[in-house]
Amino acid sequence: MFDPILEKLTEIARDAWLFLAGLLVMVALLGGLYFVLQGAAGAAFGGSRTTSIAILGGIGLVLLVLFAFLVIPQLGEVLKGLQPAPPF
Amino acid sequence: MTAAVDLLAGFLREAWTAIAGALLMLGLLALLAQVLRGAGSSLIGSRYGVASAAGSAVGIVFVLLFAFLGLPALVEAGLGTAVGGGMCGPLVGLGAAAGGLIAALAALRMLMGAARALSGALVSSESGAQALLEAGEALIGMLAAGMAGPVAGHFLGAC
Repeated sequence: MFDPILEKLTEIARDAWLFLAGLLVMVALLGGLYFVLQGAAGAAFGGSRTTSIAILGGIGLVLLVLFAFLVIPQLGEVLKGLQPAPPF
Repeated sequence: MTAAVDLLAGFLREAWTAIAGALLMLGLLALLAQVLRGAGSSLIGSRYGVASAAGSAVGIVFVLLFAFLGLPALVEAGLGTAVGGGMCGPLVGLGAAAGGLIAALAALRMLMGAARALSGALVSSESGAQALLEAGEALIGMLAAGMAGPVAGHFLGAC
């Protein structure tokens, strides 16, 4: 009885996942460009702290994107395996 | 009577499976949204935003684990207490059926509570507490409803 509803929900969730993943890629690319610009400006004007912050920010951004694209799908698989049968 | 109870229990079982699937999808989307929020906050230099997103992501994982591992154990424990305990005579079968249905409804309510907590985690970080509160309310309601049969049986002199 609930299968058609679940299928519709799955379609919507798949679309939402693609939208969020695309948005994350765009944010990460723009953020990476921003950090490169910040680092270059810091290096040009001798601001070692600014450059360090830009490098660390870029690394953090890469880590976040890797977490989103590598860890979350694996976590989903694990949780799918843990999905409980009705306990009643 | 038994057929009607089986029909209802089957319906509730299907609902459990569907809600658990929807909960998983919602949880993964919420995790991705929190990563996006963390990335955005890190770009504008908001430490609070990054910390809040990380805390919410941990809360989401906690709620999912609680829903998938903790809730079935809670329901089974409550089911053992609520079904048929203290019943006698003609009330035994009726009590067992009613207890099973009460437990099924409470289980679904707990799962819906977890789903509500997850959707709340998208905008705030109170997800874990909300899920625990909903589960506690449903469990106490299940036990209280399970006590009604034996009390009524003794009061009416059936036992």
